[in-house]
Amino acid sequence: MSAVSLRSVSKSFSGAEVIRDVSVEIADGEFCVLVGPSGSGKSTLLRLIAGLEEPNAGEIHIGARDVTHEPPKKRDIAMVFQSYALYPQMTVRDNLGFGLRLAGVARTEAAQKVEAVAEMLGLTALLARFPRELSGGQRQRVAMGRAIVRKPAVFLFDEPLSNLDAALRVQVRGEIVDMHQRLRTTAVYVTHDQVEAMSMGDRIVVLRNGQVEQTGTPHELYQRPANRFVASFIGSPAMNLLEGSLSIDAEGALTFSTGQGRVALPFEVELVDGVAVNATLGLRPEHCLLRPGASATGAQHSAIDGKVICLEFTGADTLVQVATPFGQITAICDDRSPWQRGDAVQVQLPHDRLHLFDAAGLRLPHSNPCLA
Amino acid sequence: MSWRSLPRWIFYTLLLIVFVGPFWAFAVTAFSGVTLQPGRLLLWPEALTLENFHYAWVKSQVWRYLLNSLIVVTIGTVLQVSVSALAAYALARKRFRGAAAVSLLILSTMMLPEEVIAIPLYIVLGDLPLLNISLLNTHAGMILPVVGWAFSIFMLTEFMKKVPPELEEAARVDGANEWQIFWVVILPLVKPALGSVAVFGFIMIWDQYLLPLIVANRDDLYTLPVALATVRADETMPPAVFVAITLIAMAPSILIYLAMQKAFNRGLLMGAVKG
Repeated sequence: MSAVSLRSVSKSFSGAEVIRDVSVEIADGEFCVLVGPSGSGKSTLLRLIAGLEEPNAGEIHIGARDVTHEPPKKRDIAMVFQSYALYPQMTVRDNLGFGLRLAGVARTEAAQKVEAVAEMLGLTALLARFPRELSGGQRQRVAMGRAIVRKPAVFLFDEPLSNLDAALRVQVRGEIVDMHQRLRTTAVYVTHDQVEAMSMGDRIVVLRNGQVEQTGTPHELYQRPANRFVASFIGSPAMNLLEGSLSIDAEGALTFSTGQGRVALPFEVELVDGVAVNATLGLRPEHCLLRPGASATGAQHSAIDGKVICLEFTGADTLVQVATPFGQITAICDDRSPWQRGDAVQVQLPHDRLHLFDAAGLRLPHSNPCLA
Repeated sequence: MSWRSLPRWIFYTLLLIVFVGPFWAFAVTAFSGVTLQPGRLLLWPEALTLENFHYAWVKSQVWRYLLNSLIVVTIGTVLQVSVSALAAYALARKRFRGAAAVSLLILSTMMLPEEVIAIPLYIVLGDLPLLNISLLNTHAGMILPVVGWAFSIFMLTEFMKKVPPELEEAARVDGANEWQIFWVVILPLVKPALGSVAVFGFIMIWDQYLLPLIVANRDDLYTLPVALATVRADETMPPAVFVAITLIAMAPSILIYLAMQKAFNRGLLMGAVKG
């Protein structure tokens, strides 16, 4: 068993709390991604699991063992660093075999293991080279090989792709996923890139200011973000978040409105004494449907009138910026988008794709009277 | 060479004469077999001979002083580099309470001229605290005081600070203990700095005059700088022999620099670029 369990872990540096009462359960064999913006505490959390930092409070368990106060070498973990951290004075062979040497593995057995891992990662021809003689991608693979060769209980990855160019990043991303599927070793992966997180993780932990904002599968995070932060962080381009207020109109229908526009929403949200409250309406750019012309009756439909103000052609898609009474909305159209700057359009809001957040930024379960 | 570069060449030639001239005159005089007035040097060799070196080696027993110097400088340099590297590792890579005070304490040793500490040092070496033994008239007495040298500690500290912390952390995750991190990971990465520190340390110990003078009362323990001062007073010794002994005294410093020049320059350059 090599599940990882963080129980109410907190960590401070010079009085500043960077991890606040974090609890995360990572199942045996799971690929868990810690994602968040800079300063969210994701790397610190990884270093706490590695034993490179000691928590001020809480417990860390790997498998059945409480390793909270154990040094890294007793945790049976391997780590791939952002800078690869290959020993410059050692050849690739020595880099790969260093951990085995320290563990007292017999010379011939260590050599066999190094050869096997080198073959698996396509490093056999590079074994006699020094790190300075390798490309970024090759160094990355050596760093991975150094982790694999020891057959640890848990792999830890600290933004391992951030130093690679875009094309190589996609390739190595695939290699890491492939490696995990072959080895099925528990992996904890830190990144600030939500695309990386979505494409690699079995489960994602979204962090902000040292706290867990949401934990879930990539689909859960994408389809049911727990709050405004997760909604805006997951997905690219970011979700459109329209500020306004929720109220009940004369016909008893829920209405989302700003000073200049109103739109009816088919949700059941109960308002305290019927008083309007501030809220945020979210819609992902890829779910925005653009239709020509203005809507017939405007606010009575789940549609918003607007005008195209900017087009960004990215190759496969075209990002269309639409100015509306609710603010600017980004929509994604395919590469054959018919729109021109200045066109009057109607932004249609598919009801099953809308997200609603309360004034505190928390998701409103549509059928629950959560504002009460 | 164009006429425009002539002033530059003249300037370089003058510099060469100023810096190399004395060495040239020493070497020429030491290898010449003519009788000289005290204080005079030759500019061109006359009657080439090794007689002056033979006299110095056999009659003046320079070999004994050279041996003493070599013992002190070899053991002293090895110990000084080792101690400096260990101290620098602690100061550069470890967070501990009082680190700033320790740095200041080490730095303060550079602020006192050796003449000021000569008498206290003589008293301490004459009766080592706790051990109650005397190191006067021993090689150890000439070695121990130079083992800790603030200059080399701070130089190595600066180099070790430049080693990325991820390397140390990677080694820790790989299962290395403190000693293995120091020996296998950090030390090989500061090799050029170790070379520079070794050259500086060698020259500093080789040139020690006051310390061997207060430690050694017997002339069989004299090092070359101390011996030079005493043989100078010998009026029966031909001046060219004294010059030959001086040349012998200078040779190891020059040789060690030439041998480690590459590492020395690389170390200084690394400091300049990364600092």
